[in-house]
Amino acid sequence: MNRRLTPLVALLLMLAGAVIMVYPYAYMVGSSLKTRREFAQDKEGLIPPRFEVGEQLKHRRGEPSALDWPGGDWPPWQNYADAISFGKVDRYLGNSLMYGVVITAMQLLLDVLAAYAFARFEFRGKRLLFGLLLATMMVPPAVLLIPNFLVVRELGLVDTAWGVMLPGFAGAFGIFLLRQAFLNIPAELEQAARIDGCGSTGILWHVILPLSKPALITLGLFTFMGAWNMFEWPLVVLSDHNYYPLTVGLSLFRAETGADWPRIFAASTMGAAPLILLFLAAQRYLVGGISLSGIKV
Amino acid sequence: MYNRLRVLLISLVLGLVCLGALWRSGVVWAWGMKAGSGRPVQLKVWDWWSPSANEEYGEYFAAVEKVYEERYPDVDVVLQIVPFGNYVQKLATAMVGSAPPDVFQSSVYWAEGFYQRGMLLSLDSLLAQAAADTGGQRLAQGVFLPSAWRHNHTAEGRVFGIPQIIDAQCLIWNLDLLEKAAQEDEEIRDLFEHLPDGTPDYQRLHFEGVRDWEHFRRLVKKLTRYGQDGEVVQAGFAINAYSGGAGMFPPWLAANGGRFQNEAGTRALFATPKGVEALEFMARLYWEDKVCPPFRRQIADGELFEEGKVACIAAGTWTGKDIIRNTLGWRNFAKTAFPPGPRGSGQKTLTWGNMLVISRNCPNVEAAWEYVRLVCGLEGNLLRLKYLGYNGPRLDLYQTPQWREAAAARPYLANVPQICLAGDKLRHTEIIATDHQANPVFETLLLRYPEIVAGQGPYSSVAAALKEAAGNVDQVYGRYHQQAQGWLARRGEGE
Amino acid sequence: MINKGWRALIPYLYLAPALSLALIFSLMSMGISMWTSFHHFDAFAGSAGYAGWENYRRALFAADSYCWLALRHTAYYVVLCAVGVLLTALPLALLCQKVRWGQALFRTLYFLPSITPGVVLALVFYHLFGVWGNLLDQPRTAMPALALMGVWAGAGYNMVLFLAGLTEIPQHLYDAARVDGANAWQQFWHITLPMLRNTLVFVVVMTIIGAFQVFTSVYIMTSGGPERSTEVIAYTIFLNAFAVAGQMGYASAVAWLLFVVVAVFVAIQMRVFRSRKVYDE
Repeated sequence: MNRRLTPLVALLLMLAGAVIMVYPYAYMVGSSLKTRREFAQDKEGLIPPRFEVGEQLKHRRGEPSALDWPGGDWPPWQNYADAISFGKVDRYLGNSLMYGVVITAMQLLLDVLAAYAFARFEFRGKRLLFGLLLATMMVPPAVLLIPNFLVVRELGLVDTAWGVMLPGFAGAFGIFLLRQAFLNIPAELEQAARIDGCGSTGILWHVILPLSKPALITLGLFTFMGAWNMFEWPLVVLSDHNYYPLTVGLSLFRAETGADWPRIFAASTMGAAPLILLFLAAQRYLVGGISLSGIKV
Repeated sequence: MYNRLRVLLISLVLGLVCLGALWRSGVVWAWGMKAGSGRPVQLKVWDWWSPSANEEYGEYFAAVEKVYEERYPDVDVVLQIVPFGNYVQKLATAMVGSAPPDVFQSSVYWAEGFYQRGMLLSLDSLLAQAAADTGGQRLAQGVFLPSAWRHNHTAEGRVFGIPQIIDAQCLIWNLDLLEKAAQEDEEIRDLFEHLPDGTPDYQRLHFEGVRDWEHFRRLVKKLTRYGQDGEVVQAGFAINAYSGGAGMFPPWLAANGGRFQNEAGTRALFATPKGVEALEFMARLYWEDKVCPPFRRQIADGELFEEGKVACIAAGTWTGKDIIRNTLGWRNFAKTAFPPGPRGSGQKTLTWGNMLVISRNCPNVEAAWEYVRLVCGLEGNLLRLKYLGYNGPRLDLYQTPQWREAAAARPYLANVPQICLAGDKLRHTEIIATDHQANPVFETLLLRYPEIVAGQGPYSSVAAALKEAAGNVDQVYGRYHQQAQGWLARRGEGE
Repeated sequence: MINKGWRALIPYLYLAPALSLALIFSLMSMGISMWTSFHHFDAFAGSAGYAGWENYRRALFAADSYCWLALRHTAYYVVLCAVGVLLTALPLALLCQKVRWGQALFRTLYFLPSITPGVVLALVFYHLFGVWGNLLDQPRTAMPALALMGVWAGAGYNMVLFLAGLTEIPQHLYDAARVDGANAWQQFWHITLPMLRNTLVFVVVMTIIGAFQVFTSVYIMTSGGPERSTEVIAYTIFLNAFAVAGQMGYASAVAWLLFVVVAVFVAIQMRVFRSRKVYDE
């Protein structure tokens, strides 16, 4: 009896937990459909009052209802449209995408090259350089915030797109991950290619890369997500709002008195959705990648 | 084969979506702006008045831009909005970055600090060149209200900004609630001005209507209504402990004859019996008289006022247009200054004139100065009056027929000139750092007043708490003053 | 075999771009941070002179520095998060293993917060905490509320880590234990926990390192309030470095103190639990 019950109990508990995980998202989306007055009057509900059956009936009977409030005639997507037209959220989203794509591309490029060197070559100072790389991973980002700003300032890149992206172009994490993947490729294949006349770049291109696709995809996804979710660094480095990624744009949306929360939630939904879609499409790489990176490092 | 096709198709769609998103991105948009405006000179203007908070700001800026660009066709005015709370940080970042603004609105909170750090152009020579201007074009001290020309120059008289507006903290009263209460209460009825035939004018309040703090307390108590469980259903007055606890303390302190800081910004002056009285007055309104709605972080005073749930809040002379916009047209409110406390005299408040400043490395000072002359001249004041219902710092504004019409159409403007004249100088030194030291103390004092009075709180008394806060603020002032003198000395200015 | 001549340069060429960037933006940055911490510095106006140990002295000993306060609050947050992670992610992983249907679905749903920008989560929870009893208004509940959000956000990620660790435990150990008459709790205590040791240490250490640097939720939701109860080190650093004039040196000093604290914490952890991680080479 116990044997059959446990999976069922576990399932129920997991379902309960899943509801807890998803509830804030439902709250966000539901609030993004409300008007300002609706949100002020009803902070808790998931459904905008003007769409509730009870309110609709009251309105039809001619009684005062939520549809009489300012914005009672708005369609559900009004806040999304306003966020784009007034709030210029499309600009921020486009920026987030640009930063994500460029940082990912550069990281993949640079990390592949460096990991190849560590995995397939012997050279003087290899242990030292590897140790240094390891050391860079030990530094908490909070310590690096100020000096990175000063470095970027010296380079004249403050308040530019490059300034936002540059520190993200190389990461020890990615080098380690790829090195691990490269080391797993048998040396015979490399020798075979060398016999065929490939130089080191040829081996990289024809042998190593094709065989490490999963690791590359995993790293690419991780990097893209990390870049999309960047907040403190662009907050510090940027002041021109045309360069803000969505995270910074959101945080400054509400700096006015009496913030328009439904509109903010609409922008938030638009900021969270792309990554969720990406995740759904590429789950196995991400989840697999975490296990890979988490334990083996 | 089919699989490959599918992958290709998905990649194509994704690629197009991405390209579309990139096209609309801010970075691309900014490149486009830099490339193709067609005008040789670009004037970068910064402000925190955000059209997304109030569409009227958008109309105002569009009007200013139109007038300026018609007059100076080879200049392209590019406006950027930066939120008030992040303005200092964003400005400092922009100035070491690639695209600093040329001319921008600076709060009095920051202007002196900007100047001391070397971010602003001194305007003395430009003012000297413009000394011959007359009438609405003239920009000189004598043209402005005295309370507007306080924050824009150093102690030695070097001018670094021209006042664009004059703001004051003030009390805002809900006239609907007052009128209703006035039907049964003569004391409240006496607050209103009178029409020529002797009946109360329910659209205007006497500037001196509230005589002192005791009177104020009585009035807001009468305006408070309680629900079944004793909770406040209609509040007489709202105090917000969370959003900057020190925010509402300085005007009450001024009404009691006190000051927050000394002129040079080296000492905190609020830890005095006057300060203690002012803070206790606020705390008692909440805890003993129970005229306030409960402290809630997420709910601002303005929101409560717009919902009609509170009869009086402490706000500012600029909030009128925001209330009208947020309530989609309700304008039945009036403004007064703060009544005098036991040690104060006369209606009092704090005033300041936020100003336009030009950045030190501005590449095109002429264009920037013409912008300043437009916005700070009578023409700019009239535009602000027209689009924002905003009063101005210039004396000649109040002689114009437009002002008379505006005051007639918007009765809440009636007391605003007097309020602006009744103001002391708002504090202006190192606001963020002093707030960081002082605000939590004020928060604690308001949130835990009963415990402190009973001797069980984190501070032994209100006076002790204020003394500690003042001591910390003095440290902030001291550190800043030292560095500021260093920067000024390096530029050959300063003491 | 180390190559001679110009061919010996090849690996360095491969390495150069990535390594130089990584070194500049971490090790060199640390050097700059150290230099700045010994000076009075303003983000705009630059250096205002050598300060010696002044910044450190102020951070450690001055009455108005709140550095210790911020450290205490951050440590409180860290402990809450570490305990919270163990109490949520580990049981969740055990449950998820037992579930016969929908493992992938649960992994997805639980993982959502890990891929959502922290700003978005903070904006949503700002209101949820208000609706659920104004948790952000009282000093006693504000920090636990933030920790709750932190634990909620990390639950899925850590659950996946634990799951990976759990799948590595050989089934025959459990079978043998059951034959010996061990019940579920004994199996957990004597088999699962020891075998999970590496994963546990990893999860806890990563949680601690991340929790020490909490910033976004404080910046968005409380700005250090109420009554300074949520003032954390990363917020102090940010405020002093970028929002206040002339205190970038002081902020750098505080950042170094944070680094020392984190390093000590992690070193103790690794020592006490003597993780058997082996770094190649």
